[in-house]
Amino acid sequence: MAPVKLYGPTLSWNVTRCVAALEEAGVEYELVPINFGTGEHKSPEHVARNPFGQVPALQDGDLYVWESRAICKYACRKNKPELLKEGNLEESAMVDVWLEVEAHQYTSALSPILFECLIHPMLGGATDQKVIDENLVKLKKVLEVYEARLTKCKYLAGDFLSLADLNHVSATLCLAATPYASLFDAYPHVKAWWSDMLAKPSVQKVAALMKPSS
Amino acid sequence: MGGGVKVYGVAASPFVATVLLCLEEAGVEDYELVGVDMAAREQRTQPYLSRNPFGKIPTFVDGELTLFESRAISRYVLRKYGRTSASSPTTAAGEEDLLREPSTLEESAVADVWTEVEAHRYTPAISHIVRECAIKRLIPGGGERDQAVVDENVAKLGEVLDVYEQRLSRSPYLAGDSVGLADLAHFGFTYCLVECTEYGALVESRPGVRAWWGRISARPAAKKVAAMMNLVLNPLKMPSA
Repeated sequence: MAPVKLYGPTLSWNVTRCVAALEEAGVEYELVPINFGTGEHKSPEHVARNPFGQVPALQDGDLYVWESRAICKYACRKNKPELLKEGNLEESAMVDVWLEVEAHQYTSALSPILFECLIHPMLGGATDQKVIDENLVKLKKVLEVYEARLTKCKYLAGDFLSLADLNHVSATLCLAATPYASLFDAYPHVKAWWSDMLAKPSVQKVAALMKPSS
Repeated sequence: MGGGVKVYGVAASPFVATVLLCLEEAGVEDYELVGVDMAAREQRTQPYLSRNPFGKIPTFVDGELTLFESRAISRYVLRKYGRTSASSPTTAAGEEDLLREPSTLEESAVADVWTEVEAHRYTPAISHIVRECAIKRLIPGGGERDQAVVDENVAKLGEVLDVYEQRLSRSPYLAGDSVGLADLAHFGFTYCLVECTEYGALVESRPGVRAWWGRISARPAAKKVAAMMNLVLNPLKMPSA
């Protein structure tokens, strides 16, 4: 079976979100860079893969999948469906809940912080501290909920690893490069959960991929 | 069927509407919509927070199970209670299409893609328009409409709908040949846009999108949920053209 192709730069935590899922699900994949500088993301070839002209996009034979979290689910369904628990009504519901929470509560607060710290300066703009401060307040409230949850369960959806945990990896890894690297220190169970995630070979692979080349 | 199913929230919330729509589609008859006093911020206090620590609506209870996040709730409802052609043996072939879960890897991928598009591209843009043009007027002290926010999001939604038009010119539904949750999750906000703001043309001016919206809003379950939403939204309804 040919490896699937994942299009997009490893700088993007939306792209590396997919890498975490592909790695953990054991799907063979090939990373194909997309050159934003030359407008490759808006080329007809790429728009055929992702009609919004964005990254990531995944190609598996004739099938194109886009939107990072759809790609992540695809990786699990293809090779490791137990990461979604779809055979079990209640467990799959918990996975779905925490998949939504990652997207709409956690990453929605974290990504503006990452953007201001890491991307905005790279684009020649000034870091907007107000945006960071507003989102830190939100993120800390979310982490309080996570702390309570992870006091009761080893992982977010229950006592089993699921895609809900994995979808947090890429953006959380980026925190290390910001002044907020020790944000989890105030939340011991979150910190323990994160240490557990960091020890996984799949997560280590993502971390290695995201290191700026020397 | 469905005894002990409770939805906490208000029908006028498009996120609550998604869950209600799925319950209606699944034929769950005896669910209870438990009102939440949004004006008093009931959702941010106990005991609500003990069910949904993020303090948002909807929250869903089915016996011992408590869920939150509308799309997660909706998936559960459809999985647990959803009718399939197997469970409705009297349904003749070719009758009104039933909502069913994707059965192949590819169908699942397509369904997931368009659910993500709804969540991350459609809803963020449309929700700003609906909030500024309709919701703010309903809330005491809601404030004035911010036209700059409206204009920015009308432009964004237009670009998103251009992509939808390409899809819906070739396929009756976003999910494919049959309606899916990916389509239904659009109902609440689109209803508010078309009925309660002057920006319905975003949908009406794109033939594929208009036809798709016509199909979804004609579904009996959608009409039932629209009636529930109307109880709150009625004063805002746009006169029909």
